Parts: sequence; C-alpha cells; structure tokens
Amino acid sequence: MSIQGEALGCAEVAEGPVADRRQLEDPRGELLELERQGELIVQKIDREAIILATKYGRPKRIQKAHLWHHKSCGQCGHIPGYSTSIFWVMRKLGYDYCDPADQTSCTAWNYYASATSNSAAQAAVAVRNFAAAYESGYFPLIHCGTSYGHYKEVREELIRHPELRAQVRAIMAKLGKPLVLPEEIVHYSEWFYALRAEIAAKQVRDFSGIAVAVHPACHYYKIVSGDAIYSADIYGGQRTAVVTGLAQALGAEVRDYSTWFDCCGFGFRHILVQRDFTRSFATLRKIEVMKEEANPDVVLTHDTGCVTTLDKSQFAAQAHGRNVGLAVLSDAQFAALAMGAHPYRVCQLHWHSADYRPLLEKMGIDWERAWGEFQSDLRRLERGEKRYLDWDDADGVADGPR
Amino acid sequence: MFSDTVVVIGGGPGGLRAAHGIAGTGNRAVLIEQRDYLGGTPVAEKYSGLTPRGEPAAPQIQHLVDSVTADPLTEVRLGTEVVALDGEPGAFTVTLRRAQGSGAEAVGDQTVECGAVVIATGFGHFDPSRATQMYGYFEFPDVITQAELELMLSEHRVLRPSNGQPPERICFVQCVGSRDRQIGNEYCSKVCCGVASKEAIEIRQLLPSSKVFIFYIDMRTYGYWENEIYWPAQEQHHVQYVKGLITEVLPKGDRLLVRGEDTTMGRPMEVLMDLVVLSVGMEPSTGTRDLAKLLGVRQNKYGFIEATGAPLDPVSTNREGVFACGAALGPADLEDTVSSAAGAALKAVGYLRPRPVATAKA
Amino acid sequence: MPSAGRKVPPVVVEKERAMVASTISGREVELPAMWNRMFEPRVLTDYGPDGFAAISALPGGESLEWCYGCGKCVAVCPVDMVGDYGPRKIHRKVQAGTQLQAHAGLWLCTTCGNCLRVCPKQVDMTAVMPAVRETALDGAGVPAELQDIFEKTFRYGNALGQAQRRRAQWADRAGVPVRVMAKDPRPVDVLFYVEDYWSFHPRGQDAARAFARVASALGIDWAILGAEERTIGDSQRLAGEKGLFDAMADDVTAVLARYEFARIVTPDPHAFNAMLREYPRRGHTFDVLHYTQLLAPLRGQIRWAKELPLKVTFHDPCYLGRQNGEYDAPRALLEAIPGVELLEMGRCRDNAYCCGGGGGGMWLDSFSGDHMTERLSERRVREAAQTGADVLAVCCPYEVPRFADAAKSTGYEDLRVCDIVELIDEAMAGGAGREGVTGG
Repeated sequence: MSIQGEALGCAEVAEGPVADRRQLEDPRGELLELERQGELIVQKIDREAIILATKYGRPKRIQKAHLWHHKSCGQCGHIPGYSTSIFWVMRKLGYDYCDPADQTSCTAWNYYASATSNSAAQAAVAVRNFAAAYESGYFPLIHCGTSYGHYKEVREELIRHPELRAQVRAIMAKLGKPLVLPEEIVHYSEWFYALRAEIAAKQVRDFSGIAVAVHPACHYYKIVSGDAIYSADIYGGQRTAVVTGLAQALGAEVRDYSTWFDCCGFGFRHILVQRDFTRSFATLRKIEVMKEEANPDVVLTHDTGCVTTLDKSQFAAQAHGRNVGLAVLSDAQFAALAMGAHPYRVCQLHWHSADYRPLLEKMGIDWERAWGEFQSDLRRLERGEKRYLDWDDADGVADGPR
Repeated sequence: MFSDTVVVIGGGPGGLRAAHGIAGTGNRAVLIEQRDYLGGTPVAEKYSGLTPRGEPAAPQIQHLVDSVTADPLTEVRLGTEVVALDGEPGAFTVTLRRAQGSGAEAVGDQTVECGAVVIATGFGHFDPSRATQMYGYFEFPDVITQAELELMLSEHRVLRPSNGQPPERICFVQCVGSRDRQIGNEYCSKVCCGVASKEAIEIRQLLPSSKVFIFYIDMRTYGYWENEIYWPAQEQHHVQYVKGLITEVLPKGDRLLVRGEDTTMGRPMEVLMDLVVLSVGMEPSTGTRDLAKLLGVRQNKYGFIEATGAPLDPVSTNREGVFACGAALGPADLEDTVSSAAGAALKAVGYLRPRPVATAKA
Repeated sequence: MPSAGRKVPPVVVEKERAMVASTISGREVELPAMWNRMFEPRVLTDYGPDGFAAISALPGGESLEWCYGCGKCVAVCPVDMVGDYGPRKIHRKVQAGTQLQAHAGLWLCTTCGNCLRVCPKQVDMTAVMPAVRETALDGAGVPAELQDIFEKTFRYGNALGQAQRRRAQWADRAGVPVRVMAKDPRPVDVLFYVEDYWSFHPRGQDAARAFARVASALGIDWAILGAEERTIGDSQRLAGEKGLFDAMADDVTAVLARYEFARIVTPDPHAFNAMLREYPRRGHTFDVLHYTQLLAPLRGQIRWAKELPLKVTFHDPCYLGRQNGEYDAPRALLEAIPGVELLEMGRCRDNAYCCGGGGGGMWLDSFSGDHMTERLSERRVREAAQTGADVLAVCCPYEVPRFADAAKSTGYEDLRVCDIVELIDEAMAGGAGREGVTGG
C-alpha cells in the first residue's frame, strides 16, 4: 500500500551495524506475525484510511469511517461535553460509527492509580473490549489518552509474553470470545488530526484571533513512545503533531512555553492520594508558566485526565493568590466549536471550572444567549416533554431558523 | 621480489604520521586521501586550538602535512578512493579510483603494488538526532555541536546562530551519544571532556563577560589534561562545572531553558542559556565503515576496526598485512592517533622484507 | 541537599481555612487546609561565577571555587556527622546562588581544618569562612550569642565578660606562689599566657592551679601577666572579627614589649596558634610553646607520689594537633603518669573529631542546636566513652567545660573529664609541693 500521508522529515539515521533499536519497533508487524503463527486474531483496517507517520517513521493507518467508540469513564462522568463533541464532529463529517453499550472501562485506573490489578486481568479487560469491537465489525477508536497508553502497553505485553497470551486466551474462552487485537490502536485525537482538513473545511467560526497553548498527554506520547503521530511540519518532527496540527488547521495561533513536556500533574495515583502534588504541578508548572510565557486564550489537550487536572486544579490555587484562570478544553470541543457547535448543548462547557466565557466571546459566541437556550432545554426536560436531549436538540433544530 | 611500498588510506593526522614514519625507515608510502586536501578532520572542521594547551591547530597540522608532502619517499594521491585490495601480505595490489565529487577529471582505475596497508580513515561525529534525550538540535538554531563551536572559535567569533549576537550564557552538555546502551554507543568518546573544557576556556577568553557552564556525569580529563585543562578552566577562567546531565532543552522566550537534575543538591535544575553545545561522541566514519567491508577487515560491534591483538598490539587487524590506527579503531585523541600511527607504520614496514618463516612445532 | 540519604522535601504552603469564589458563578466555597495545600517548586534556576567572584575578592577566599566536588571533605567534616554540611556543599550552594553571608551554614564551621587536610584542591575553609564572616558582621545575620561575645571581648578584654582585675584571682588558692610580672618585672624564662578559661572558669582555674603546682615542683622560672593579660582572641578572629583581633594584637604586643622573657607558654591551643602563625605576619615573632610541649621534655624529672590506675583516652585539640602538628607531647605526658593506660579513640591525631569549640563554636551552642541533631562535643564524648576509658583527658581550656557538659547530657556522667595537668598534679602528690621534684 503506497503511503498517501505525510513523510517524516527527521534527519536520516546514520547507517551502521548497530541500528537504533527504536527504529525496529513495529507492533503491527509483530501482531501480524503472531496471527500467522495462530496466536491471535488481528482486526484489520479494511476500509479507507489515512496514513500518518509515527515517531521513527513507521506508517500508521487511521480508518476514517465505521468506528467503534471506546468511550472514557472520566469523560462520560465529569466532562460529558468531551464525549459529545467527538460524536458530534464525526456525525457532521458524515462518518458512520457504533456507540457500543457493551464497552467496559479500560480499568487503567486499576493499574496506574490503585495498583489493585494484575497483568492478566488488565489484558483480559482490554481484549474483551477489542473482541466486542471485532465482533461488531467496527474498528475501535479510543477516546481516553490513558486508555490508549494502557492499551499500547497491554499490546506490548501480549506480544512479548506467550504465557500471558495463554492466560488471556483461557479467560476469553470462558467468555466465548477470541483473543483479538486491532492492527492499530488509534486515539481519537489521531483521527481528528488525520481529518483536520475536512474539519477545517466545515469551520464556521473564525479562530484566527485565538491563541492556544497545547498540553500533550503523557499517556499519549510517552508510553510506547514510538507509536505516536509526528510530522516534519509540526515542530520539525520533534514533538507529537496531534492537537497542535488540528489547532493550526483551524487557524488558531499555537504558542510555545517551556514546560511543554511536563505532565499535567494527574500522575498515576497522585490525583487520588497526593492531590496537593497534582494541584501544585498543574498550576505552578503548567498553568502559570503558560500564562506567563504564552498568555493563550485556551489550553488544549487530548486526554480525560489532563482536561480534568488542568481545569479543576486552578480553583484551589486561588486560595494562595496564584496566577491561574485559564480555560481548558479538549481538542474535540475546540473543533466542535469551530464547526459551529453549541457551547452548552454539545460542548457542555458548564461542567468546566476555569472561566471559558472570555474564550467564547473571542470566538464570537454569544454565550448568554446560548445559556438561555440550554436553560430552556432543561425546562423542557423538567416539564417531561422529553426524557433526554438528542442530536436534533444539540443542533438546536427546535429553536427554529436564526 | 619484495615490495618497498606501504599504502596508507586516509590523509588525516594518523595517516600523515604513518606515512611520515614509513618514509623515515627508508621505504615508500603512498597516501590515499578522498578529499582534495590533507589534514583530515582537524582541517575539515577547522580546529581552533589543540587540546590541551590550546595552541593553534592549523600550523601544527600543516607542519605534519609538510613533513609528508616534502618527503621524496612519500606520494600523495588526493581525491582518490580505494576500491579493491587483492593479493597477499607482502604482495598486495590496491585498486584506486577518482573519488566522487573530486575536482579532477575522471580517469580509469589505477593500481598500486604494496607490501602492507595502513587504514587511517578516522571518525565521524554522533548524529544528535539519535539522542535519547530531547536536545532540540533540529528545533533550535542555538543548539550546536562541539565541531560547530570549534569552527566559530577558529574564526574568533562566537555568536548565537538565532540572532547573530554574542551569547552571554553558554553551556556544554557532555556524553551526547556516548556511554549509552540504548543508542548503542556504550563506550566513552574520551576527548569530549577535555575538548569541552578547552573550548570553554577559549570562549571565556573571547567573551570575558560570558558565563560558561559544563554539565557532566564525570569529568574525564585523563592524564595531564586534568591539571592542564580542567583545573585552569575552573580556577582561572571560572568555568562552572555542574554535576548532573542536561536531559531537555526547551524554548523560553528567545532563550533556551536547559533542564536536568543537580545531583549534588538533589534538586531539579532549570537554567536559561543562550547557546547550548552538545559534546557529541565519536563514531566510525563512513570511510571506516566502507573500507572495512571492502577490505574484509573485521569491525567491532560499534563499527570501528577491531584491533585483534589489543591491548598490547593495538594496530593489527584480522587481515594479515592490513593495519589500522587512530580513530578508525575507536575513540582517540591526537596523541593516541599519532602514537598508534607510528606503531602501525612500524608493523607495516615489517612486510617489506622477507619475513622469518615460523618453524612448525613438532 | 540530600540529608541522611533523603532528599529535602519541598516547602508546604497551606491555609487552615480559605474561602474561594468561582470565577464563573461567583459562589464561594470554603476550602480547608487539605484542599488548598500546595508545594513550592524545588527547582534551582541559576548557577554562576558571581558568588565565587565575590568571595574570591576577599583575602583568603580564593580557594572556594577550586572545589571539584570529590566529597572527601564531607566525609571528615565534623559538622556533617550531626547535620548536613561540608565544603563541597557550600561550594555548590554558592554556585547555585546562595548568599553565603546570609546563610546559617556560615556560622557552623568550627575551622577544625580536617577538610583542608584531605582536599586534593587545597580548598581552605579555615581561610574562606573567616573572610566571609568578616563581611557578614555588619549585617543582621550574626548570631546573637556570638555578637555578645565580641562585645564582651572588646569591652572586657576577655570573652567571659569578667573584670580584668580578677584575672589572677585563681592563683590565690594555688598553694604555691605565682609570680605576676607587673609586681615583679624582672626577666623571666617562661611568660605563661593563661587565657580566659583558665583565668575565669572554675574548671579552668582548677587546671591553672594544678599547672602552678607542677611548674613549681619542676622549678620552672615562670610568671603570668595577671590583670594586664588580654585574650589573644584567635577564635574571635576565625569567627569573623579580624578587626578586633588586630586591635587586640596591638594591645597584647604592647604589654609584652614591656617585659623580658625567653618564651611564651600557653595552655590554650588557640592562643598558641595565633602567636605561632598570626603574630609573625603582623611583625611579632615569639618563641611559643603549648604547655604540654614545655612539660613533656621534663617528664623524667617528675617525682611520682602515687599511681593513677586509670584508663585514659586523649582528645587531640584541633589547634594543637591537626593545625600545628603536635600530637606526641600530650601523649608522652599521659604515658609518663604511673598506672595510666592510654586508649586511643578511632578518630585521633590528624583525623581527630572536633569538639565544636573552635571558630566561634564555643559560643554558638544555641544557634548550632537548631542546625544539628546533637552537638559535636556530645558526639565526641560518646566516642570517648565507647573506648572504655575512665577519663577523657584534654589539653585545651575549651574542652573541659564542653565535654563535662556533654558527658552529662549524653548520660555518661561517670566519664571524668579533666586536663592532663590535673592528672599529673594528682599523681605527683596530693597537692604537689617541692618534694615532688628530683634534681635541682
């Protein structure tokens, strides 16, 4: 298959008898080899895909349509506008998808936060989800950065350890499911990046006056670091291209700051048992530095934990008079707003802690009116006219022509 | 009939010294050099001062060059490459060809008969893009290598590539691409600590108000380099040595923020710099790699020519009659290089007369 | 700096209670401490030559920046054993922007010199610290206890704030005549410079009297200055008051110039050090001995009246031993006492562990208590007690009070602390008279 996507422009690796080990990483190739050996099944990308380059040049396919949405518990629970925006954008671009009811949490919390699990259990949970996708025929798309990083690690463990595969196979057998892994583990922000031109083509709000600081999720690009999207056009191929590429395609100005590579502070279990650390890190190492050096209108990120941490740590820091107060959005919500989404019905910004209203004003959005519309939706629900809002409500079809 | 000629491949300090040594024994040396000039890396990269005493490199290297070109027993072939080695020890045939991109017109292949060969093809620099740390070499114009700094020093102008202004704060990051299992270059490149200290002194002399820092794992200034470079750098030129290696270079405003752990203080350090110099290590040069394959000479796992008789015979290769010297064998400073070159020359001339036949043991 | 292998934790910022308002709704929420606690960043943001340049500009300060971080000094620094200290650490802190003048660590160094003994770069903290301390004196950083001593020294001519006219009072009950130069100004062989602690401190006075009896028994021609004596003030000099030291040197040498004597003998290693090394730089050279150096060659002449069957361990004073090379005279004296068994501590001679009194430390116990887990003297007393000795013998006037105190606070009350001369005096006779001497 010829490469239709972008070439990676990093300097050529010096040729020599000892190749750079990282160049050799090819999880897809290793999965296919295991499939040839009969060890597992690989769910193939068999529809139109965009090909992107990963860090060391390995091409990664991103299937455009017919996707199985592996949702995020943290998003659904605390940042529902994040999930809604992902679906909304995909609908607007006209790509079909499956929103499964039989998806479980990836349980990465058990691994990263509470360490109450074990590798077989974690791998089995992952594979069960992948099997559900496989059986549906839709290709999995991971909503959460932490799920994504965790699944990449699970993949590596399954590739390296035949005894683990045997354990998981046995567990799957009890469930009547095969041991299956997708040929690529794809994060939704990779899909958004791959389709950024199509998103920009449907942009209705002018973002040329919006300044953005990007926070890349550790679980996206640091875990199994070779399998993340890079481009010669974005930071010279030196930093991951997702989120930044999308923001630029939407006309926003992406500004740099010196703690770009720092974690947001969510950490592994820090946000649970050492939240003072998380709070300090998020505000002192990220938000304050962004404000001081970049002074953006919004921070964009692409992981549940990052949005949560960066957005919700700012409130407590106000107790000490820290320089906080910076809106935090996911790239999905940002893209949705660009495409004309309702800030409350779709992006559900009322769940956010740091003030986003100046940002909306800069985007030319009358948030007071939007809030009024949303309030009237709620009253309709209270009156029992509907049980819940649907996609037509999200697009304000009932509001009538504007 | 025995040959009276040794072919020396590579016209850098090692090759020059070997050729000079061969001529000194009254035998002939034919020096093959790919480039259109002699002197090797010190000339190609315009070394400013030699380590440790900082005396100007150019005249010293020129002196070495003159000692070869003025000698009637040495013949120099510039712009030439070796393409084959046939025959046996004592009676080799070396096939030569005009090098690609050489100024002279192309002619057909030529051959030279010789009794032995000395490989002196030297080293290349580690490519910073392969570093596991985030040094931003391709992102930030103000992140440069030691070689790029050496060029500036030889022109007596150290300026920030980003804005052409003299830097106020300059730091060196040691061990880039060396001592690293992940990258594959496990060895220490031996000269970078001394060279960084020497360059630091030169910067301090050129820019008296500058602040110069060296971030290191250990300072490996062996032998007399300790008291001739390290101590003066610190005591007289006030170079600041900080134990803790920089792992990230990030932009902050129009300067660079270097980040690491201060291992003495047990705390993170993030310090602004105007210029970051990566002390990149040595690797086998392309010439060394190509020639090893061409001549059937064994390389070690890093691609350098393997000295099969090390440590007491540091110049013999696995192919009899073919010797190697200098940085083609591994990290070497100039003193190492000229020493092993002389050693290789001596061994090589041993193949220009009847060799005693080894008595078979009963 | 990592301390005891652990990194120093970050500084916590928290408010018992705080009211915070939402920037969107305006609603106020109460945030108790747990919900507003934060940590200050620990990042070092600069290094530079400026701190070194400022210190190098001070005479004696040049060597600090030579440190190349080998760490040999820290291993032998007495303060690091009970705190977090050492020249290497000071070097790195100065390099990372710490103002040494304003840093508490400036006052913890006892100038014992053990670091210099092992330093491959010859970083001389016994010159650096006093030089920096001198510049800190007009600031607010001088510990109050120390400032008090400087004032007493200046006003009274001694560190203890005692009336000078009482300098010779100890001699009244010596049991032997003690000649005072002012009353009897004839030339004398030994001018005995008593110094503050033997003059005024009760335990020092015990030792002074013992010396008087021993000297008398040996027929030594000696005298004291009495009320004319001022402290030499070497510890005050090392604590930063070079100006005071220089002024006192003028006074001291003016008094000395009025008398004729062959040599000066002192029980105080600090006075000994000053007269041996500092006074010649100021143009005054004397033949100076520590009292053990006077008595050791005469030990064969002592007539012993009884045995002292004691296990004795000896603490080398830094300014007699390591700084000035005399380890043998005190030991020769102890071994001459019949019955005494000399037990050496592990850290002895040139590696002896400082009692903490030097460099101003004698007068900084409160201050250093805030920065150390225990006092150096307490640590040393433990070491002494663990040799199994009955007696900790010393020959510096600081040490008897320091170690006696430390013996009590560490629970080693049974460890007797006394000066060597007291033991000699005891064995020589119960209050040696002339009958203790052989020969003329």
